[in-house]
Amino acid sequence: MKKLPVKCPSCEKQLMVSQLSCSNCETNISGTYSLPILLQLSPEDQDFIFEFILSGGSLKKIATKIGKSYPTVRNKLDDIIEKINHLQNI
Amino acid sequence: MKTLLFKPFEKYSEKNLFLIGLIFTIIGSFIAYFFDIRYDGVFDIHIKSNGLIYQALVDNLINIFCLILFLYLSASYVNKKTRVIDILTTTVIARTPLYILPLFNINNVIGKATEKLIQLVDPKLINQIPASSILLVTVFGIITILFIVWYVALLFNGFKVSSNAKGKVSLILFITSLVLAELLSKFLIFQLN
Repeated sequence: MKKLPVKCPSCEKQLMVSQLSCSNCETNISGTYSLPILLQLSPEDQDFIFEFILSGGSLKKIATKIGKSYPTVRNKLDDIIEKINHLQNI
Repeated sequence: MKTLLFKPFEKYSEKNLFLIGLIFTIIGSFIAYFFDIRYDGVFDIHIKSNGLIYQALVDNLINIFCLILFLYLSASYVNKKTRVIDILTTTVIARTPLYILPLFNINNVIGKATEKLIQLVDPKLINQIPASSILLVTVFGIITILFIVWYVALLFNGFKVSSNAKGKVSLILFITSLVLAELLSKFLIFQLN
């Protein structure tokens, strides 16, 4: 699966969506749209959120699953919350 | 291996770490009794005869209590979500390198070498100091410093994981906690003797 780039490889700024297309009828929509906040996070953070949802929001279950301690997993979640708060304020 | 020796708090559960730390504390305290070592302060390891079999254990429990008290206060200031159990496991695991040190004092060999050095500190007698005693005390000194660095590295890594500490303020709080823990532990151990 292709990785969605979220940052400009040239200047490191956040990329915007400028075109969407329908693979069925080939309709194209042009414009400037921001990426959803979750997509602006790193793939590693996105994977963590995915795991968090799948484990029913239990940090203990994630810790057991990924072989990390509870405080390490909790710190990871706190860091993601901080990043999301930062992205919301941009 | 690096994780196991320096950052076990990132990987292993608090229950396993606490159990291992507790076992090491008890075994280490009794080893210290048999090898004439006293832990009379958070950062102290001295060659002294233990009067009672549980003396080293009492010393260690006081040191652990003082470290938990000040590290928890600092960690809670940095992050209110900090759990006491994580600071407790940090402390008991971080002290394990210190429990290995008494094994170097088999037959009180370091104690005897130190006594020889102390008896011959007079400048007139300096040539009579056996080279083996100087070598032994120097090597033990270097090993002790390395083990104390390992101990502090474990304490700091545990503190960081427990509180998600970042930046200079956390570092200053950590150092202050260690200084205060050292002062309180020295005071309490001195009062109890």
